[in-house]
Amino acid sequence: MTFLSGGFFLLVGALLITYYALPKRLRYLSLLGGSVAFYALCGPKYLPFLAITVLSVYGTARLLGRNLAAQKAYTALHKKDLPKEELTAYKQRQGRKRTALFLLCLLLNLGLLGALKYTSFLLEVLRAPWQVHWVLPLGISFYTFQSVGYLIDVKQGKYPPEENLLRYALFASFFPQMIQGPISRYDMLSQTLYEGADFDLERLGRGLVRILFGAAKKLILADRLAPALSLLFGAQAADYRGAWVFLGMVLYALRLYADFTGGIDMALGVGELFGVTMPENFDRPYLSKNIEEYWTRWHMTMGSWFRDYVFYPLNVSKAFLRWTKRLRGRFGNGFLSRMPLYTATLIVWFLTGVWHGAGWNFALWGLTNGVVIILSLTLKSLYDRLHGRFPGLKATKAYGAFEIVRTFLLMCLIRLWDCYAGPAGVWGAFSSLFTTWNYGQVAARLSILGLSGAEWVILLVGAALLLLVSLKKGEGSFRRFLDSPWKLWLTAAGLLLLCLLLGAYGPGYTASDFIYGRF
Amino acid sequence: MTFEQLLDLLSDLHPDIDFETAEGLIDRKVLTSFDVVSIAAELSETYGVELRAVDIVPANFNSARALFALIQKREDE
Repeated sequence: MTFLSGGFFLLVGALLITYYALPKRLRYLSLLGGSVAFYALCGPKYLPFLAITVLSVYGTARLLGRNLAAQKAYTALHKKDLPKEELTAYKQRQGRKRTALFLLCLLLNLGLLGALKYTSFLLEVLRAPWQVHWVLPLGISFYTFQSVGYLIDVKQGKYPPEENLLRYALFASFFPQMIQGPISRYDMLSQTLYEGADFDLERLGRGLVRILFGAAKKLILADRLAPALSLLFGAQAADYRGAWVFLGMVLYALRLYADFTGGIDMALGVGELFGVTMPENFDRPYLSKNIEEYWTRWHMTMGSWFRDYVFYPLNVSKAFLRWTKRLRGRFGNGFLSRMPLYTATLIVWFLTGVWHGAGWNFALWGLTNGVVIILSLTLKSLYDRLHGRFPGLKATKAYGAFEIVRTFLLMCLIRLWDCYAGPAGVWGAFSSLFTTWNYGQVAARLSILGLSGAEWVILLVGAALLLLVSLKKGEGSFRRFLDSPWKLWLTAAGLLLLCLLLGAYGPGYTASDFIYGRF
Repeated sequence: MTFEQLLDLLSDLHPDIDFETAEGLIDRKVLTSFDVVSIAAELSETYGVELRAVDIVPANFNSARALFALIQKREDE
């Protein structure tokens, strides 16, 4: 079941009725029922895996919370009558217990994710004589990361654990975020997930507009581009070189953006129908001026997850700090003394790559991002010196536009890992950008992509509108424009009409799955 | 460590920012994640102040004052 299936809309409709029919304090139960129903409809065989994660994380977090509370009470009670060393030793013993519990739960959940997602690939790499075809539960990467984040926060004492199993189960399985995120944090999501929203027609209208805006991006732009991109990146990819690669990577950027942000818009819009606020996942990423900034604006909840739970802990770990100290003592403040920072960056980006999928392309895609970020950090002093010679250049609009286009093209190039099979395929496509000069020929043969003139107009206007919305958002939320009920409902009607009239469906098209759904 | 020493450390990273008055350093993306870990490494190396993973939250890095309060807390331990 996808967001764009009749079954999904029926489920949301039924949930709206039950949600608002129930007393406020019980409304979250209808969301839990809906989430279980959604997951069961996607595949009943997935349910046991989700249940393992929910129960193990819930139980472990409770034990961690109980241990932390007991430790706090004990130290408060004996603060005056016990020597400091004894209290420290007690805290260390309790800390070790918590770490053991935490690691056990982590091993179970990441082990499950790793086994289901990567075993087949590892066997292939090891050239094992047998293969496995295990089930990969829907959204396992998303709900596992969300659950692990919760567990780490509880272990660190950031907030107490959720005591109610049903409430926790809803946090881990809330259905709009199961297909492609966002990856929520408990302290943020719990503020609205359980409170039971009042019936508010204006909020419903806003949710509906966001859902339809997401659907329009997906149906009108992303799905329209899918067949053309399959041709450019498919089995005959070697026939499409040079300018075709350039065209393909720009169109893929548009498709990925429309697909992923469209799906997130739909997820956040569905949440809004029930008064649930989930974190935003995008902040106009294609307007970023460098790759580091880009990754704070694209798939923000995944990026911040890796930053908070892997990058920061690695960098402030005793081992890394000692390593930095040793290197600085030997090499001063130069490139080599930053090796720990660069190592942590590469680890994070390798993990980010394989989080997206089991395959060399994913790992190399991640590592390429890491290497480019390290290069840009290393070259920063050079850039600063250059800008020192041309003061004022950086503040000009023209230079700002250049930075945006440069970052966009760089991200397009890195995404070639996502488009072509294996390093040879990627290298062939990349090198042809500079060796095959066929731009005039491509312009004359655009029709082979199967898109009519009217469809090109739709794509261009759609892309221009997305850009306009992004630019407008910089001056304040686009939603402020929708400040009256009639504007809201008129916009919803307009978007629905656009989806029906201009959406890519019917003969020759299938409502394809969301790209990020496969992660 | 004194507040002035912290201001010097931060100014080395971003000479163009007045850290004495600047607020929302993380929220406004003045400091990046690389700046944050560079600060943590510098604090550990030069001043012997070891921050923990749990300390690295926006509230502690949004202003020099907030960061200084955290440093004092860790020094007192």
